Amino acid sequence: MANFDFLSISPDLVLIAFAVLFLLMGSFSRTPGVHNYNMLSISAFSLAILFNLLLFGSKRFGFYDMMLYDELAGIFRFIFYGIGIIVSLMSDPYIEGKIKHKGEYYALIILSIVGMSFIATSYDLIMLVLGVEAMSLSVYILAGMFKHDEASAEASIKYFLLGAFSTAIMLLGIAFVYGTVGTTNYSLIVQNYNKYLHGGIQTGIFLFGVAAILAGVLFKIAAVPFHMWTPDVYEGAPTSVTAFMISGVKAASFFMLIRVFLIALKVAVFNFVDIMVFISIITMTLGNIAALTQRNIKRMLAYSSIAHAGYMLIGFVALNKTGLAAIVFYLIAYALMNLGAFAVLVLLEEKGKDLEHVSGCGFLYPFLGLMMTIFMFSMVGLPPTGGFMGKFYVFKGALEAGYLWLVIIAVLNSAVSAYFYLRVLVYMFFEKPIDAGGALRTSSATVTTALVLTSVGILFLGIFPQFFFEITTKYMTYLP
Amino acid sequence: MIQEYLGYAFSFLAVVLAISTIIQKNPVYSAASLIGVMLMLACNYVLLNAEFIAAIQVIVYVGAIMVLFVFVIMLLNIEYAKREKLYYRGRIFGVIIGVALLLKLLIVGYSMAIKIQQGDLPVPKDLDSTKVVGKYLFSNYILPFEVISVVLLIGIIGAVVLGRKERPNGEQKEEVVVKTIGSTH
Amino acid sequence: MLESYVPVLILGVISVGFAFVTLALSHLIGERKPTEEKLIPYECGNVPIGTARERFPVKFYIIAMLFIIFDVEVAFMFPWAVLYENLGMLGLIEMLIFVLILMLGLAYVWGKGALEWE
Repeated sequence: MANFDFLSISPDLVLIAFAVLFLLMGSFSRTPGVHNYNMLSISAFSLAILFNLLLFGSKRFGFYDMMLYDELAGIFRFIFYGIGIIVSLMSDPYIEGKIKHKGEYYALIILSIVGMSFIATSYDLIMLVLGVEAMSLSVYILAGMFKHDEASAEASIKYFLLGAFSTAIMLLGIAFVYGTVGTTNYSLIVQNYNKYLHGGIQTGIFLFGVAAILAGVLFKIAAVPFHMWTPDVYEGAPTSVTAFMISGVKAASFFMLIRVFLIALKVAVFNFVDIMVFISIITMTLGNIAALTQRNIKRMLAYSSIAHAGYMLIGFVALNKTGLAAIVFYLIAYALMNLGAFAVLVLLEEKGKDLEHVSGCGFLYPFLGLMMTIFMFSMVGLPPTGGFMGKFYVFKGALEAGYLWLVIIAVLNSAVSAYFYLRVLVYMFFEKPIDAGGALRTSSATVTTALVLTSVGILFLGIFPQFFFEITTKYMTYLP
Repeated sequence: MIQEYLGYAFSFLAVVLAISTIIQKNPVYSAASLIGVMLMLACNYVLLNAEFIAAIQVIVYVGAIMVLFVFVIMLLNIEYAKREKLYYRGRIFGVIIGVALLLKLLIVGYSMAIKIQQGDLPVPKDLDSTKVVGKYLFSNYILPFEVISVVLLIGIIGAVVLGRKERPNGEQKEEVVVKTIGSTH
Repeated sequence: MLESYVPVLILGVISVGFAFVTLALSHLIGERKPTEEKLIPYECGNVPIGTARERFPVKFYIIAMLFIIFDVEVAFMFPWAVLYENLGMLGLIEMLIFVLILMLGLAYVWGKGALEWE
């Protein structure tokens, strides 16, 4: 049926219009430096949030069932647009003078979020692939925006080559799935699977396709056999872009995992639980152990993001309502604490990127010190922060599903991770500053706003967790 | 029947040209052989009644992607000798893996006929493949079609942002030396 | 259906065969008296300076990239053009939206000065 439901994609339409506006402003304006792109981009995201708010609560199919807007997709759209706002807030002082193409920078962030939004509302594997492509292509370009920085160029090319390869594998998987069930529509895949496939070679091919799709998704969330690109890319990319990748792309990829595997491929998901248990354990362990030896804070946070992906996969292994809702909760907390930590790094980066360079900053800049303390506590998973509640709910879900030993391994991992997270604070507060000089831009109003927003958010999640967790549990309707 | 023989002929030529792509020492010849492979594949698509894919194969791969390949070869000016070294090192492993893959494909290809499910969308008999693609591209797949234009827009931005030469900050605009390809003309 | 491709096949065979036969014949029966001047590459009558394999300026690259993108766009126009009459007004509007977004991209490229040879 031809249901041209423009309302359901109205936030995306608004964002695309703004992105095109930014591009044209960047190319035709005589004075490209003076525009307040960040404020415009924030208003774009606010408008998108407003439109999404109008839609929220309804469940609507659109465009020949190419997309399905449901409550969980709405929640994820809120997450993506919120990430967009915070990234826009923290970008401006950082990229000032370093990036010539500011209009393109914001346009790419917006288009990447449009891609994420299409992932969130996809109801057909074709839409999913296009969303992934729009999201990843923008991020490949963003990672290489520092054109005179070799690390940035390396990050861009490495991410692009490996990412394109992983998307190709995912497409191969989709081709196998299409070959066996004859459709790419999420609900029809389930129907046709029950109609046509009853074991034997055909089911084997179908499962091979599902495995290839899973490999593509795991690459995007940086789970362990496919994590090799993460440290180099996250370290080399501009810090504000790393913040965007580590929060936005990871949130979108996790939602892709949940949506595809629990709506379209739920017939096959139980075949992969065992391997997901293994991947989850090895992901968190390897991420934490590798992070122990890092001196560069960005690289350390890159490994920590691998470890967090491992914790979140526990929720996926549990495959029950609590575990899956906990992933969503964890993702919100995770996005907030990473955005916050990177916002602090954005300000401190002029001093240097290693642990030594931040020494003494905690007392020199008490506000930044306090903020970093909150974010690092949340990363370790100490109360009263969102990180603690996220881990708590994920573990609760796993316990309900009977994975006690998995929870024990994860708790041990968290204990190990305390060492390298708290070491940042040790350097910030208990080491002598290497040199007090250097006019540090610590008083950027926009970054301060971002810091306040993220830290308040984390504390809110930590102190009143029920509020969000009830919402996520209520709308977590995708169950196998 | 004749179609089958033609298919074998095109496939044989494609394999020969693919081998030529690998063993040519001059990268430009390799690229030319690859164009041949693409054309042979397009011929096979025509035999399979997939005219649209054949046309896209020629337009996009032969027309655009190979231009970029040849261009990159010209840009990097890859030398013959380096390539030769690359070719000899680790050859045994390559041969072993290649033969293993070939054997596996042959065994799988001959031992079991994999049944491919017919797609759910009905294919009208009176339309050729291009028209079928058009019919569905502009009805069922309209949203992906429009999203593709956004993806292509991102590609344009990438080409402009990353592909253009950018001077470091503060450096004055230097005298542009116009350099043409055939400098002797 | 496939019969309509027979002329194409014949054309292909003849053109490849013609090129091959001509080269082979001239190679077999042609008389060769090479001198040093004859063996140097033909450069419109001038004496060649250096190798002809010079590195391309990187500026071509962006042109090639943009060419690919708009080439893909044309590939999508192809089925629309074939089915134009059946698709009617709706198809036209759909295509216009598609082209509009890419034309804005082209305007961006143009305004950015990426089409200029500096």
